Amino acid sequence: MRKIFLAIFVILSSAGFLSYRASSLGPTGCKNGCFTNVTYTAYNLTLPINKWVEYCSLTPVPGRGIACAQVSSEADYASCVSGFCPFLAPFMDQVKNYECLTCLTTPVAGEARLNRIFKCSATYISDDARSCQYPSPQSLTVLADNSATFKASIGSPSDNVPVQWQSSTDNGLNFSPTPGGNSPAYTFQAAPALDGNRYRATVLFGNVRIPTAAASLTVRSATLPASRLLVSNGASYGMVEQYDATNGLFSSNVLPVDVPQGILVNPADGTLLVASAKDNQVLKVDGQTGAPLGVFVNGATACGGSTLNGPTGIVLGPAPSRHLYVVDKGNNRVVEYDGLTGACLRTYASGSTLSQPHALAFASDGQLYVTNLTGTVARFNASGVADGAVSIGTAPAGIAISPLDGHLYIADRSAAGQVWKVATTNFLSATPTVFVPSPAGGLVNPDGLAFGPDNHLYVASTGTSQIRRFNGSTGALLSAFVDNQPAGLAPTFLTFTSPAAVTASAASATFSPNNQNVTLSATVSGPGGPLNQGFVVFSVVDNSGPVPAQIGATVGPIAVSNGSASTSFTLPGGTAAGSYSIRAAYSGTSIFRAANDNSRLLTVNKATPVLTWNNPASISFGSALSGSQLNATANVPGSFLYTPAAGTVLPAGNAQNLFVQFNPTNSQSYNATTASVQINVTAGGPATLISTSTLARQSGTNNVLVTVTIANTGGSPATGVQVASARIGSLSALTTLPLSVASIPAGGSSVVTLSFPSAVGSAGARAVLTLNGSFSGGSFGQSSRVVLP
Amino acid sequence: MRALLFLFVTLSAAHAATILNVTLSPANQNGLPGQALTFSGTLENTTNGTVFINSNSFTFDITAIGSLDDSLFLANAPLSLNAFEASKQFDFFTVNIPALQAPGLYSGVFTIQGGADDLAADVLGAASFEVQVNAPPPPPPGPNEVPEPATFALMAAGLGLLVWQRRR
Repeated sequence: MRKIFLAIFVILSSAGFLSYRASSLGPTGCKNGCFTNVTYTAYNLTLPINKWVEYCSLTPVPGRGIACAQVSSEADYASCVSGFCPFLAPFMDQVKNYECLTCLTTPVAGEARLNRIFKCSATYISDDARSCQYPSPQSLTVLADNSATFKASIGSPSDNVPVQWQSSTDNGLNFSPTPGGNSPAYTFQAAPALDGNRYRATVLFGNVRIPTAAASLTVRSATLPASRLLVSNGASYGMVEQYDATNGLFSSNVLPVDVPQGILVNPADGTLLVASAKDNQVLKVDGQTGAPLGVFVNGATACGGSTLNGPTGIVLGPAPSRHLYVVDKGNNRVVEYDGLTGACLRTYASGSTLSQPHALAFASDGQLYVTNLTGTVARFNASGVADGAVSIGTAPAGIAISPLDGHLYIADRSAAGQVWKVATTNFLSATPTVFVPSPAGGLVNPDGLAFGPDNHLYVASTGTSQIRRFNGSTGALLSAFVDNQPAGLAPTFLTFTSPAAVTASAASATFSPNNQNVTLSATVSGPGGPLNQGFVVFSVVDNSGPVPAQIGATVGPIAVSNGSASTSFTLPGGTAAGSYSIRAAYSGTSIFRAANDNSRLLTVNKATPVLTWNNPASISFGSALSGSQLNATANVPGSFLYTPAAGTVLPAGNAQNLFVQFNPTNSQSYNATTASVQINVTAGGPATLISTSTLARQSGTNNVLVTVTIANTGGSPATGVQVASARIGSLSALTTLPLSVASIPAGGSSVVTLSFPSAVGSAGARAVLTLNGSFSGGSFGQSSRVVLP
Repeated sequence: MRALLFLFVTLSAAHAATILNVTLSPANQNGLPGQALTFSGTLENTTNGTVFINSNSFTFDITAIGSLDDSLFLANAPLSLNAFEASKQFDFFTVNIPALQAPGLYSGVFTIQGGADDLAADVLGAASFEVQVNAPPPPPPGPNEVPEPATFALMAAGLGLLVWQRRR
């Protein structure tokens, strides 16, 4: 074991020799050659000057690392070491960069001076001294079965320090390795059984595994609030937390994030995006479970010519692109990224109008407003070109757009914090007014602010560790909405997420070969009733096939006003009759989650063909119906079925109905339909003879008497009518034939009686009666199945 | 052309409908004098009740008795048709064109009668038909026919006229 010692103290108020940098996160650790568990005391040191030496504070705070300071001057530091710490000489490279120590002499502000001698001890661990400064992970409270992430602040993300996480089920008496916990951030599903477990990270130095202090896990059985207030909490190392937006009660930790800043809900997928000012990243988080979904924007990769340097505010741009805009505070610029992938697009805004930019917001006019902590709010057009800045307060920080009046609301991050209000119309010449005054508002160093689902204003009062709620219309204080957070609250940015419901209305149309307009509408509501923000995009989908097919073009985005959105949809001509799904997609906003509805149908009804059929001209009796009368037409292809059919001879008479049933070829989109006309059939035409017979048995002779009625259903008289032959079965009539019959007028009839021998058959026997004759116009005849009397 | 018959059962004063659809296939045929033409067709019950087929009547432009033999109909027709039932195609009647029938178009109407029972004689339906009687081709002269004396006399007169012209 080798020994080494060094003590340094920093005098905050001293002038000249020391350059001081305090960090609550601790140094990033020795690179090599440190020592293990060796304590030296009573060494006298002179403060080194201008050297990158970081050292422990006197009282390391669990979970917060060790306050450190640095001096910078290679020569002085080397002199210091060589003059007072000769044993450090072989390890100069390590010592000058990182070391851990504890001063035994309590430093007092203003007491330390150059060349003052302190008695200090130092603890060096193995060949890397970082672990002595590694802070404890933050304890977590999560909802059952949600994601839990412990994070050990060990080095920078690029260091990828290998760790081994351990857990304890006995209040920290015994720890055992957790499977898969080998990176500084350890994520797992918080089963209820894990409630009360302790977790710590360990780092292997040589053969020694050095643990961090342990953090505890609390697993709540509560459900996720429907409406949530998400807060970037800068207390300790940083944590994204969520509260019930209806009452301000703490719900759970979402994810540890080092120095969390801007936070938003991406309405496109419901994920959270949160900026880490320390890690220069924008992280993506599952909006429901809190599971980390990776680095969305890696600020270590240059975008627009620079890497990110302390990102703060973030915002999504207007639809439809919905790009992500990030305030790159250290570079005095706003950087634009793809809102879905996080890919770098460009430096969107920069220049002299940006000076310590902090937060940003897009107004309804599509222009971007950026707060500068130096006292101004700058405006940029849609191309990122600045058109000026307005002085507002002393340190404009958070900025929000009111859903009520569309004005800008800006938090002034001063000790006597207040909220300003300014219109976007004539912004450059507008006069900001105080919306929440000081001290009435009770705001101290307010930072982020946001309008909630109830349209009231919520302000992160960092100095009072509160989130205060103000009337969104008057600015009157309503409550300290989030207060007395036990784990500490230093809110920076905040946002809301709340459910929204969109319901489309059913629609209908009638099939047409041509394009037609159909009104599509939807209602959008949140927990508090109809919404007045966001957009709805409509589309119509045919789900009848194996693969859904969109009908026509997507329509929108349509702004939601008074809880509804309505638009005209062009239904393409020829869209077959049937039912199609209406998809209404609500865009969501910074508050309300996106929502979809596809439960309603656009019903395209069958069209009824238009038949054209005029009353035909009168025909003479005896003329069969033909295409001259049965000549209906339709405006679509199909077949006609007439009643009576062609060839039918109608009786004489007026206003006789003719019917047609039309069966369209395209029966999917057209109804079958009918039409009727009337026709007059005038008398005339040839004679038509129809015979009917009745049979009787002649008493006495038992002969069969057949009474034949010969009816002339034609339009002309039948003259010269005579019955030429008649028989039942094979037996001819006894009556002498031919038998003349008087002329039969049109519509009239004549009766003749024929006698047949009894031998034609017995009563009840069946036979065929055959009759033939002639008249002046031709021949006639009859055959009948008869039952003998 | 003469058409001929009606086939309506009166449902109301202004509405009429056939009970049987009577279809002849074909309804128009050509033939030569002395030729027999058989007409076939189908029956279709258009009502929702059983219809008995009991009788038929016909009227035909050709006057000669027997020019239309309707014995096929009752021999082939079903006794009845159930509701909306259609028959198979069967032979209805035969037109026997008389040997000396003049060429021309002759029409007729074939009427079906019956009704709800086997004694009914209501008009159920009818179909018109036409027969085009064509002129027979002239017969070719026989190979061994002997010219008549008048033919010889005419030929001799012609030859004498030729001789007289040459002598002049």
